[in-house]
Amino acid sequence: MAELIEGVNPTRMELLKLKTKLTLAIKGHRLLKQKRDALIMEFFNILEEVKERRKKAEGELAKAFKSLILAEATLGTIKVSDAAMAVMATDSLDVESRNIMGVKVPVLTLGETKRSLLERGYGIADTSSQLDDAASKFEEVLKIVAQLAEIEKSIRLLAEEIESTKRRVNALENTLIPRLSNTIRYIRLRLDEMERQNFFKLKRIKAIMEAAS
Amino acid sequence: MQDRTARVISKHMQMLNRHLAIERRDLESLLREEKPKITLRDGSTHSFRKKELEKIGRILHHELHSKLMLPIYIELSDKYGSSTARISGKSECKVTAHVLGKKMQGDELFIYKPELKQLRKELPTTTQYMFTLSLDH
Repeated sequence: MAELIEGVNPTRMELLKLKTKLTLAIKGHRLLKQKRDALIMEFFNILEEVKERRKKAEGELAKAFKSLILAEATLGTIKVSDAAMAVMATDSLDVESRNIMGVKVPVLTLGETKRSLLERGYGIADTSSQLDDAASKFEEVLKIVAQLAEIEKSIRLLAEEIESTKRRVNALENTLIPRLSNTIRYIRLRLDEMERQNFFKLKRIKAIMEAAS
Repeated sequence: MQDRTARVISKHMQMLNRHLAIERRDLESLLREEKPKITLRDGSTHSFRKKELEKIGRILHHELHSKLMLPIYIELSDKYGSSTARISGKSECKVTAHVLGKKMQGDELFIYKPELKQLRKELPTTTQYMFTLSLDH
């Protein structure tokens, strides 16, 4: 059984205050439950996307690495890493955030990643078409990886928020609301008791006065 | 102890709506910007996806672009029950009704859980949850 709120005076004023608090707590509890449900819905919405995107990213990355292995086989590892050092950076990744019920999730925007042979920066004369193919595939996969990163981070943050909202719901449900209800019940009992006491007192006084007269 | 109880409850309530915008902005001005965003009550920023804004722009007539305030608030309240949400505002309802394939019913629109899921999937950055507490006992 939940405890009572300490230091409460059993008065009618206090009873009214506690009743208002209880109503507020019940409403707040309902709202928090709605928030928790909405967060869970968002979580599953994103989870559906994660499965698809991860599968896609893994498939595309496998293709890209296959092309890279082919390029290394034809050109040699040193030449491929030399070419990689010469490659110029792509457009910077734009990191912003959006808010889902207090959870700040990232919004990653990557500019155009596909580049022409000359834009990449390595020499065309001493490289092969396999390397161009690998570079092109890695450029394609970059966008998918950025999207996947955004979604996976969002999932993690949402899961944390669901956990803390659950804790708040449970705190209201199992501690605060029962405490308020118990205290209200206690004050009611005390007030009833006091009323009975007074009634009995008055009756006794009346009896004594009647006996005296 | 009693004050603590009141503090706990009011803190919970305040926390619920800290993600709302300080000031909502109209679609027309947001469409003009390169990186459309708004500032929220907790001091953070909320970015809108340009593609989403353009999608809404295609749904609404050009004249209504200045009337649609974004983000569209999805109101969750204890008085509607756990599976109902409310959208208010004529332009906001028009966009929502179009996305969900529903009929327009005036200035407010009530949507249910499966529709809410669909709406959030279609418009994740241009819609935002709002929690309201009814005053009646």
